[in-house]
Amino acid sequence: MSDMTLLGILATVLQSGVLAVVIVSTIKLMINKNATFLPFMFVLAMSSYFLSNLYWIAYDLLKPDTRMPIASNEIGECAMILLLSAGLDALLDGKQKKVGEVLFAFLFIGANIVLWIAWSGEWFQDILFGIPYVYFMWILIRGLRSRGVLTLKELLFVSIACISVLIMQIPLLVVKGNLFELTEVVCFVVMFAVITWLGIKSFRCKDFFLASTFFLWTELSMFLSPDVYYNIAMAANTIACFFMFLSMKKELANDLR
Amino acid sequence: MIYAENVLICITVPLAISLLFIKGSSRRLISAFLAGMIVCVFSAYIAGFLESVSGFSSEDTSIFLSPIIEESMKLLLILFCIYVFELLDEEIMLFAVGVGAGFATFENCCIMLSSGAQQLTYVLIRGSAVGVMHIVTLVALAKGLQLLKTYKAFSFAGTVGVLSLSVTVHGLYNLLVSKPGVSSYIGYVMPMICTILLCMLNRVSIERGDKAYAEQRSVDEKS
Repeated sequence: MSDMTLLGILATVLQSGVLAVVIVSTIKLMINKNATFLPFMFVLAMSSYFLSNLYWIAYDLLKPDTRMPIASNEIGECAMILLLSAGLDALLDGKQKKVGEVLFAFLFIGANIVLWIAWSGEWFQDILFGIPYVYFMWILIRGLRSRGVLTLKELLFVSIACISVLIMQIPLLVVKGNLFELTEVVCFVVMFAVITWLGIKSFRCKDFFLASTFFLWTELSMFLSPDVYYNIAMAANTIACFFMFLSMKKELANDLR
Repeated sequence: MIYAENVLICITVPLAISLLFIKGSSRRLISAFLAGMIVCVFSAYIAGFLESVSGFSSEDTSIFLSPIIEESMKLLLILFCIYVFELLDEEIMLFAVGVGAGFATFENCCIMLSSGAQQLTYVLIRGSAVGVMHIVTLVALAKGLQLLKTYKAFSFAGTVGVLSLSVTVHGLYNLLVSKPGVSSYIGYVMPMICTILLCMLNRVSIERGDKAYAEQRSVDEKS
């Protein structure tokens, strides 16, 4: 087993620990405040993520350094995204589908899928498991806009930053040498700057849609990052799970008031 | 080599005949049991077909493809019944348990016939792990569908999400038991742990339902 695999397992174990705490805390919350739909979906989503991590750990231990053909852990992540989407969908005030938002979600996740395919070559599963992300992203954009959590300026700024990360990923696939190193530094600086900004913003606002956006961006960053960067993005993803719990708790408190 | 269809006919005929003499929930349970066995055969056909088309080894098929196929087939059957027969909450659970039990029983029968049942330990593991696992994933699926229905959030995303959750549980079990050693012991214990957790969840929801019913009744009496 390589050192990177071992580090990956360690990071996944840590994340699973945090997820277990989040799941237990949410169940306690459900019992104390009489179960409602959002925490129920949140528990299911986090349980899927937890199981997906367990699958990942088991696979790495049983078949180290081999690539999964069709992975149940991806299905688990797919479950998490869909269940979170179902929970968020119930919170949406305005459900009218604006073409621009749907198109943006489609193109943005589509670009991500193209990059995943270019990296892994697994076009079928990348497309299949990418579709829920389009729906999830559309719900997040709708929620952020209808609630006004981010101003239009902030929304534009974060969108441009995210798109520039995707654009900078293209030369990373084709060029080598100094240009590669320069692009890599700039790309990951922008990527982690967005992660930090979204993290701070979602901690301050404690809005479920914003925390979920933070979570989504950390997920996408993980998929776009190699080795060390992957583990840093994963650490941010673990924090995002906790922030989602805090914002869900606040959402619940507002709902009961 | 066994002829699964012949085994199916042999088991289903007496059960099908028994349907003529029973009514109510017993009839529904037996029907679900029969449907579960038929779904098991279809799932095996599809898995066999995909194995030959994809070029996966039989081990890879059982780890990666079977959970997806089996859980999807079971979900389709339950969804069909929910929409066609307009099942109530309790009926969904009854049907799910019946399908799960039928599926697991038929799978166990075929495995026992093909690989023998001389060792009691093997038979016990087969019965209490694989058998229970099919019921657990279906009960979890039914519980999820029930709750989505209760909260009037029966959406495509929610349904596929619940399906994916049960596929993950099934896939994790198949992966863990694929290699001998500690991982397989964890895998064999996993369905039982899930059963206990689901029983507790079911109990809590039943108690909560009773409490809500009592509260509603006292409000009605006061008014």
